[in-house]
Amino acid sequence: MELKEFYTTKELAELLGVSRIAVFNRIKKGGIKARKMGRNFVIFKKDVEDIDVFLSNLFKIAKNWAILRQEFPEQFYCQNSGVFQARVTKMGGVMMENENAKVLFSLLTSIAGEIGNNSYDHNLGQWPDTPGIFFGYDLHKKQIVLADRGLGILKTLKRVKPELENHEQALKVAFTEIISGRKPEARGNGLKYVRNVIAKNPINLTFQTGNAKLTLNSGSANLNIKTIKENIPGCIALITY
Amino acid sequence: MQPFLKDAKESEIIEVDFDGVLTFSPSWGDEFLTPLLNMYGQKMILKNTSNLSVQATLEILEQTTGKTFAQK
Repeated sequence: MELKEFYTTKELAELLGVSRIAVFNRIKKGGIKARKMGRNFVIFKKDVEDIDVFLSNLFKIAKNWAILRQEFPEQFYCQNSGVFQARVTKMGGVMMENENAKVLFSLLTSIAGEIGNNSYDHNLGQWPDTPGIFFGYDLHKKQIVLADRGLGILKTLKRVKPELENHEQALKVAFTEIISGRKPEARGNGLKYVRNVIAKNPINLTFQTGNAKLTLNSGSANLNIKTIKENIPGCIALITY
Repeated sequence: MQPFLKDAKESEIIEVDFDGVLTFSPSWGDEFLTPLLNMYGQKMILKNTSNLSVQATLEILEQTTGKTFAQK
């Protein structure tokens, strides 16, 4: 991650998925705290950490990182599983107090935990470039986003199921069969658990790996898997509720 | 956990109390509970399992192991 302490207005606009004019307008209205540097405004990262969550499209930021390795605010980066555990626990605490999430907080925390832990468990010592995951949540938009730049599900499961031919097949196996990419270790029930929870609760999931996209809708165990144009090297997940 | 339980007598019941648990998940549950279920079977009683994530985790562990947890 680049350690520059500020964004230019152009960088912030790109990061938030809004126009540069929209950023200027928010600066004028005081919604974004900016400082003059020469003839231009700059926005210090410490000043936008909270604003990011409300303005941004978390999924877009995560996807831009997962595919293009674009920089994202450090608050969403969990370099190791210890950091992730701490943040997912914090999310649970915040959700307990939130009107929209307090009923489901334990399930949302546990399925986010399972998806995030999978990233670390399956890529330990094998991260192709950047270790760790993107993890962000937005209580207003009622969404949780996780992403990694790991090996992806196909490569992981091919170790124990070499007959898998494509990402669609791998995704289906991951969500339906009790199979562990870490064999001979047991486990392998995390994504089945996620499916079970969604089938019985008002929670939805979009999960992409390689060129395959899975959609699981609240109240149904049906897997909707299709091939898409974009290619995610690792995995990206969007949980909504 | 298992070393602490090795001295448990044959007649003793092992109680696992989930009171105060905020969230539970199968990756940890599988490491923690499955070995105990295999070892103690119906002699292990789970208490206060009403938390939604506890219920969902127990369900998937039962599917995976083909065994059922005794619950109070």
